[in-house]
Amino acid sequence: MSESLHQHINRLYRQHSGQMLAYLCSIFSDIDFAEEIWHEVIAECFDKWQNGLPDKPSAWLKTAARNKAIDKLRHQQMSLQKAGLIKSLLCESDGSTLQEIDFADEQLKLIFCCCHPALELDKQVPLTLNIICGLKTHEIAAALLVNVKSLEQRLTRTKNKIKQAGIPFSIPEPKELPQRLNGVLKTIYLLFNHGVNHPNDEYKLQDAAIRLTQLMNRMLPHHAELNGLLALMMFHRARSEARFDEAGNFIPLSLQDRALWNTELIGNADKLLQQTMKQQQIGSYQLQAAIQGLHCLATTPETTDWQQIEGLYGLLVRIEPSPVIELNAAVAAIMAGHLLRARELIERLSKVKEIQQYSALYVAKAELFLKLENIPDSIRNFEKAIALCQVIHEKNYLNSKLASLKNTLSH
Amino acid sequence: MQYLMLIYDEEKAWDNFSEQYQGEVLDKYHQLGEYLQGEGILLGGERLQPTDTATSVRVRNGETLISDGPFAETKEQLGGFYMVECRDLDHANEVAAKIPSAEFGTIEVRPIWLMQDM
Repeated sequence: MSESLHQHINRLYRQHSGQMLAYLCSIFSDIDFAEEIWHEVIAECFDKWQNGLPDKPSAWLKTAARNKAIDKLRHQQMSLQKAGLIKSLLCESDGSTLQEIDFADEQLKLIFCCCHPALELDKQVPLTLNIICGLKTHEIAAALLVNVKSLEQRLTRTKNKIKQAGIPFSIPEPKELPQRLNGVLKTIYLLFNHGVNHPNDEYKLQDAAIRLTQLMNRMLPHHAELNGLLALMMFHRARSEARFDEAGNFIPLSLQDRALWNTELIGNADKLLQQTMKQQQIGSYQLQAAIQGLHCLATTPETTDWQQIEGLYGLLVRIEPSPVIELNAAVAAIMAGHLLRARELIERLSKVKEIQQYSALYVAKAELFLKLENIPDSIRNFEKAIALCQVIHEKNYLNSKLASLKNTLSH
Repeated sequence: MQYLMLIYDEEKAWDNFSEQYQGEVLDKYHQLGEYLQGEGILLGGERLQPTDTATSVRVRNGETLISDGPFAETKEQLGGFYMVECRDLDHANEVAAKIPSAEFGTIEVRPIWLMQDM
């Protein structure tokens, strides 16, 4: 019985952390203080709910947080401003279950704070997971594959910087908003990708990223790229059941069991993307979503519309020129059967220093040689790809591919 | 909140600017100073003589060691500073972006450690 109370409270903690901290930060403008109060509230739950849960747990949490806030304010040096604050807090209504959209403004401010450009990405991601998504330090460390102690230190230093450097809880000025929002989207996508690369994403980073983006969407609707990112993440998420086998081995797209794909989610993502693209404000996330959508809508690998994918990569390269995207364009060209074009692209790319140590370049070369039925050169490039590969599950996949290729050579 | 804005740029590059361009930059600094005064946020600020004129002092084991030059050889050198009172970091960054050297150098924005925080 008490074990399930524990789990229940942990679930509520995770569900409402973002909101409650946003609410408390709007009163105190101090993340550490807000966390202190929130943690005190949660600690009380374990005590006070021993004999049963309240009717509306989230309402209870909010009332408790508010009462503690009033208490702390009364103990601080009084000012006219604080007196007014206490008065308005006392007037707040209690008793209604928290909706996701509650304290939306405050949550948005907190998101912009956690994703402030004065914090590097490596700090933004764990901070967002901690503060907005309600993950605990050990959970974040496991999800990001880092040492718990060093993550704790990183979080402490980050929160300290927010306090000492005066990173504000505010929605950016209109002229800063587009750039700042792009920054937030980048952080969310990075956060999402940490979940994608985890065999079972046990801390549910993908879902957290999607929910966070959906929340932002309600507050900043019709933002094309925000919706593009949402659609992109939904397409990726729809395939997560098929991405890894039981042993945690990575299964590439071409070999995934498509019966395990979430067709409802794919349908929703597709509808969202179609609506979004009508706004004619095409951007990188929308194009990436369109590419993933084409993969998701192909019932078999053979029916994948590689021509369209190649075209989309062509557009993407123009908006976001990068060797990696050009490489993906080359791979799409290979799959679309435009081998000459692919060869040109790859030859040009091979001269780019940045990409010469990138495993995927040699995978692309290997695939091209395979299509040209040049097995020895294909093997050579797979071997080089494996030597450069940093990601265990990809390495394993490449090794197995190399093994079967060597097999065909000996027969 | 109080911030120190440390102005870093390449002294060599400055030396290579035309006299006219140098003059334009210094004019902009003058205007900035007036702007900050007008806003009531300027707490201090000075231009520094180049690092050729710097002396570094260290005391180790009771011995005072004097050496010629800045504390370290760096690509960009400290050329000046402003001390300002700003609402928050966003405000401070906005001010920093107005500093003329931001266009060819780097402004480091550092919160001042106020004694009452200790």
